[in-house]
Amino acid sequence: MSDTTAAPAQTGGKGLSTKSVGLVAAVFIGVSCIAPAYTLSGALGPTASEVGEHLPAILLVGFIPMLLVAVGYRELNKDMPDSGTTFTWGTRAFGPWVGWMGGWGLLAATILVLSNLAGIAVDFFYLFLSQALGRPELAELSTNVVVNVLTCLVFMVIACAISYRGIEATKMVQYVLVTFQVIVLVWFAVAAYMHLANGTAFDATPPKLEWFNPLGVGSFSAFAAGVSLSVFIYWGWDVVLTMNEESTDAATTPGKAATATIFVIVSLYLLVATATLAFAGVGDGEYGLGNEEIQENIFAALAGPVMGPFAILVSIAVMASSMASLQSTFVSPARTLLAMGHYGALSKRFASITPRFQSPGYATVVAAVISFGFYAIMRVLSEAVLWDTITALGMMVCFYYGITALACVWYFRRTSRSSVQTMLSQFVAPLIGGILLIAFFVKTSIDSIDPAYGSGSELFGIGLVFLLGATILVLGLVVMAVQSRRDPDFFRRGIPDEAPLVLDD
Amino acid sequence: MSQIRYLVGYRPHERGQDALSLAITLAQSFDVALDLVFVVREHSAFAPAYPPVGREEPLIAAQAQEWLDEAVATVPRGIEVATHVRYAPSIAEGLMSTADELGSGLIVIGSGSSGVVRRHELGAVASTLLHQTSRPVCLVPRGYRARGPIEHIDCAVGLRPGGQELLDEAVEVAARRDLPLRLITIVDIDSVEDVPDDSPLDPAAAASESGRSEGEVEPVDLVRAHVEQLLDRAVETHGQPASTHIVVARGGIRDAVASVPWDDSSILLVGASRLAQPRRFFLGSTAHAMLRVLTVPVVAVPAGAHLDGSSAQEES
Repeated sequence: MSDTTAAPAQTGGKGLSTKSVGLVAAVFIGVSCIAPAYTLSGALGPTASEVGEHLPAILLVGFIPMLLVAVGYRELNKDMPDSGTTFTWGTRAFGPWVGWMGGWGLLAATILVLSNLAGIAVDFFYLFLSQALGRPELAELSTNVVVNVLTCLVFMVIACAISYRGIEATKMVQYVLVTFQVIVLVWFAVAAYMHLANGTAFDATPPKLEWFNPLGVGSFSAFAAGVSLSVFIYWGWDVVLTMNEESTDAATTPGKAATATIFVIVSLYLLVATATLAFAGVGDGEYGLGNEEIQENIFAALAGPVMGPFAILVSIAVMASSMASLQSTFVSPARTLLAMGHYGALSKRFASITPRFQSPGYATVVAAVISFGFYAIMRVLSEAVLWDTITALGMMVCFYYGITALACVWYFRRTSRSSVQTMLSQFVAPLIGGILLIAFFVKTSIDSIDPAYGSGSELFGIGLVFLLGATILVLGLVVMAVQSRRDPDFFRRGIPDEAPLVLDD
Repeated sequence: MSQIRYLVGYRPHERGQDALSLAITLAQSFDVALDLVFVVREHSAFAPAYPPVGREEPLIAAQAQEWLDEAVATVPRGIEVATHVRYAPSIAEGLMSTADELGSGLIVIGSGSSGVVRRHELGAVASTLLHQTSRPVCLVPRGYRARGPIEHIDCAVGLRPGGQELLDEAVEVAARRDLPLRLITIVDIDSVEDVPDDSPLDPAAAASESGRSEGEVEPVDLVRAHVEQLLDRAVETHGQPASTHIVVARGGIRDAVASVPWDDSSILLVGASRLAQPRRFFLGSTAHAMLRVLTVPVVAVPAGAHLDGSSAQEES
């Protein structure tokens, strides 16, 4: 005799419970996902190299396509709260082939960001050591390819092990991390302005209104590249919008939290960006934002001259934020791989779950191996691995967010006209956002063929960023073709509507 | 009276098998129904994935249901068994709330970590349960495989106030199934002068009874007399087990445990420390120390709890 029930332990509905996140907590979660200290350190330089002193303008408008897509993302997430996200939604809207490539884009983006996070963490780890021990030569260790790659391996193994064992950051950890990052970044900005006021700035450049004029950016290429990067800069913010089930009030908390988070983040970014410009200018001198030597890791170069002995705080903040992100970023590709394995879009092994830790163990390890392998290869190939990975990452995020947004438009094509509100959230916003992001993706891809693009890394006379993006996408097509022959079921049927994703009680 | 149900915190690994193996034996020996429960841990909202991806818990729940179905297939015919997949912020919380929901008389869980040596290992789940639940918890040692029905009941009787409740429960279970009952007490004092003031032992009374002076009373006799008294009271209310046997072991806990013969066809009932808050219990220090050397299944019974789930159910 056997009867089977499956239901939540406490509440009804779809089973997943924990309505514990209020507005303030949601803002902390949002800011922690954006990881401002890490993001600014990695992206400020490459963005400045594209748009120069119009950096604040790009930070202001770069947010718009992200917002438009996030609105569609939220709609899809409400309708299909599935760990496959872009993969699942793309498949349901456009069929298995497009959905598969969307999932691949998401995977590629996370693998890229993992490499970049680990790279930044390694740099700041040695910088921190040199500052803490007062031995400047230690900071140079991160430029030694072997030392760098091995240190990265250690970081990756630790982060992977934490994810594998299903250990999660607690509320307290997130609060401390976020508060510390914000304090240090504000400190940096204030110190930079003090130098400006005291006449001790490296290249004193008083703020101008023109900095905030997006139309002042020289070319569409620069504009597209800048926006691609700023998509990465705001990446993670949308997590707040998806927190329906956790929120104390699902109807209003996510929206309010998203607004509050973006207000905090844009203010913080503008403060730091204008302060950095005011202190360092956009020239190519030692500390100028135009200096290619320092662009891929701005804070590593500027923290010392700006904050003096307190520069070590910046190192700690960036290191902590990138390591925390490294860990939370492992979860993302692992869950996407889990969903793809579950639906037969990849080998079933990716769907295996460790009995003890309840984590997608195989998928987690594979994500770690690929990320590390990718980082190691890039580190050897490229002088400016951080820069190139960030640029390629921006492209990849545009690609999969673009697909996601258009999937939203198509998926809701029959219901979106039912009210003004759904018209905006399911059709207009994601359509504009999707088209913009795909346009930026195409434009940046074409521009990046030029060997002088971005950091100027090249292979066979072709820009490395383009090669990276093209290789990733072509590799995706190959893997998809192989998988479709090995297990054609998914590619014939897609994801059935009655997929047993949510257990009823 | 409705069917008594025992809850098994099942995991598809060896220690989960240990727990299921004992639960099957208990079900056969005591004619209870089993609930195989898998708790899917919900991710904390404070640890979101970056970039955002959706929930994976439903996929894990689907997998868990498969695991439970496979486990049910190994349960012998004749045992009523149900499976339940539940979401909870932690496994211990999920087991506790599911036990409340089902009115479980016992929560059976496997050891906390893997290894080759057969022994108890309290993991996070067991520790949390022992600290917070008001229901009996059965800890199954790593590598345990039941080899037949339960043939006798062991009960560790402490010398603290409240030992009566535990003994009542042990006598009730043994009498109900007509099984032999063995009461085990460990004496770690050398002379009656070491008997603490709050102890229910009364050297003066024992002395006057035996007609000797207080100094001549052997601690072992004193303890035996006390346990006999508790036993008599329990038998009066709950009936007579097949047989009763009192073992008073001396010395350190390790030696004392080693001096008593144990076998796999018994379960050992231990009580909870009275230091805990009302209806929240943790193992007393003696019981804790015993766990480290024991290789038989141990049932920890909090104050006021019954193995038929009655008291805990009524009050929760």
